[in-house]
Amino acid sequence: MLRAMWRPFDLVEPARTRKLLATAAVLGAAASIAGLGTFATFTSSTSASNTIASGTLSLTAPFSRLGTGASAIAAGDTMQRAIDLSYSGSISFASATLTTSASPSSNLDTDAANGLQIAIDKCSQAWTESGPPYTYTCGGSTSTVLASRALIGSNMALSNLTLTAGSTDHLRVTVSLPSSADNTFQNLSSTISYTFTGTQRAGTNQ
Amino acid sequence: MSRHGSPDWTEGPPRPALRIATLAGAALAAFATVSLALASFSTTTTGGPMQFTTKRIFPGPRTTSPHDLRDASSGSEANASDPSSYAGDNLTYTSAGNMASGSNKYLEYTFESARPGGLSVSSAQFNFRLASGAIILPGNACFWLQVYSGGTLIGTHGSYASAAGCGSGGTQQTFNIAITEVTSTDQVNGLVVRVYAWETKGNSVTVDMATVTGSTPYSSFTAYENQLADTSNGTTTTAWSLASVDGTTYTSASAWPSNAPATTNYLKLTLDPSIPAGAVVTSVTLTNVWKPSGTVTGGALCYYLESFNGSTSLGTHGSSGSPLRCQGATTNVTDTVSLTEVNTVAKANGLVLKLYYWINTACGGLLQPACLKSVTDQSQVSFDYYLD
Repeated sequence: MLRAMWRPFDLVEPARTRKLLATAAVLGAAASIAGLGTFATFTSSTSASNTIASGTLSLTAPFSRLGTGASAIAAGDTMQRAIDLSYSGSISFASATLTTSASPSSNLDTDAANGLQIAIDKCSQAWTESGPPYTYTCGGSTSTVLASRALIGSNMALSNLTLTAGSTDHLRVTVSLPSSADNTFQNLSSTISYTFTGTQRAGTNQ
Repeated sequence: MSRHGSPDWTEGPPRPALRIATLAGAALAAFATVSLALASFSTTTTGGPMQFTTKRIFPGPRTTSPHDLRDASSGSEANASDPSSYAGDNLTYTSAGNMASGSNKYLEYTFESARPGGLSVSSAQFNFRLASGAIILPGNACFWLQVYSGGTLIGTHGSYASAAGCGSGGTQQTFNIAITEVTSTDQVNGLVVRVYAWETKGNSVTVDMATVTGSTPYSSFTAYENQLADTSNGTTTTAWSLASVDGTTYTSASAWPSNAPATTNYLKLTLDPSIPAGAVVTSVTLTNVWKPSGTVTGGALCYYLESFNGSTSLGTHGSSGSPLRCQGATTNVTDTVSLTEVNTVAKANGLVLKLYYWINTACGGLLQPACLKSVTDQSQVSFDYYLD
């Protein structure tokens, strides 16, 4: 009777074998840990604590006019909107990209040649805003962050950004409807969303 | 069965299965290691949504000529309008020759380009009013038609066997033919309608009106013809005299007054731009190309103009003491007059211009040179507007 209950591993089905093996492993590990205490002897040691904490990577937009749309625009019109990108974490960035999408969409954003175009430039200090309609002047120096191109794009590389933790880049987004937009662009509407993505700097010795 | 004769399930995993499990475990470990090596922090921030909406009608000039022209050069007003543009005004066009069934002779109308492009058009129709041209024992005037846009045939309505319309005798009758193939203002602008008309007794055909009407999402409109080609007797082309600078001119019915203008003597131009309600009218400009009918001895033919909204005066350009222009020679002069007082849709849609001409020297009297008429090659008004 006892023999019938105690079946060797090689006589049970494989799944049950694995369960039994796992149970045995856990029990063994527990026993080992317990044994360490049970069989401890006098020892002497010195220790040094070494706290390793990861930094934070944070990209925020403390100021943004990108939520301000424009109505009744015509071919040749230009819309300027400012946004501040703030690198507020403790880790600097290696790069930043912009992804734009449209919903609802229209020929305004699907026609890459004659539809809405985007360009981004940066001012070394905060832009001076006037309007609405908003226009901006730079009291410092300007540089190109994104050369003029079709508004919709994925992971568009942004240039000349500071990207340093604790700093802020002052950007001016210029969206324009080219003069080449013909009458087929009348009475259209598109809603654009912007996503700026920052990626941390390369790893270094710490 | 195993080599030991026991069942397979009692022996644990077979060796091939162990190898596969080992490889899978190694691959998983490698994937995890590489993934950890390539991972880095990233973060995002968003902006928008930013909505863009374009104007319903983009800014731009839309030009039209007055097809309603009244000539009061004599001091009393006479209707000198385009014979093909209005019904019931006793101004008609009679084909140059007879038009029999099956002759393939046609009257071809080319319409103005006065609408903003890119708008959808609904309820487009060709409005044709005709009768037999015979005075005695007329037959019936019938027609079928073809519609062309950009030189391409886009629609056919009727045939010689199945007329699109047939009048009765010499009585003018209007037919409104739906031309549903015309669906945009791009087609309306410069639309060509070729009317194969015939008279059941083989006589000529008299046409009182040929227009195209329809609606955009923002307004209804009437398109007037600027040119008529008649193939009933060879081919003759008749352009509306005020539509373009082409040598086809309008000569005033009478000579103009001597010495000073009179408010009873004028050419009156009535415009029909069909500008949608709510539009913003940014500029209105008259282009007037004209000359005296002969060399004015010792003086010149002069004019000034007055703009009206219906019968309400809006403003004047020039005056009797300061003419808008004087021209003594028989060469065309072109005047471009900015009508800044026409700054609303209502004023534009109801725009009437009176041009007061006079000879600025004594004429028409004893021992005086004859007074002269005016010859107008073009009177065209450009309406610049947009609709938000």
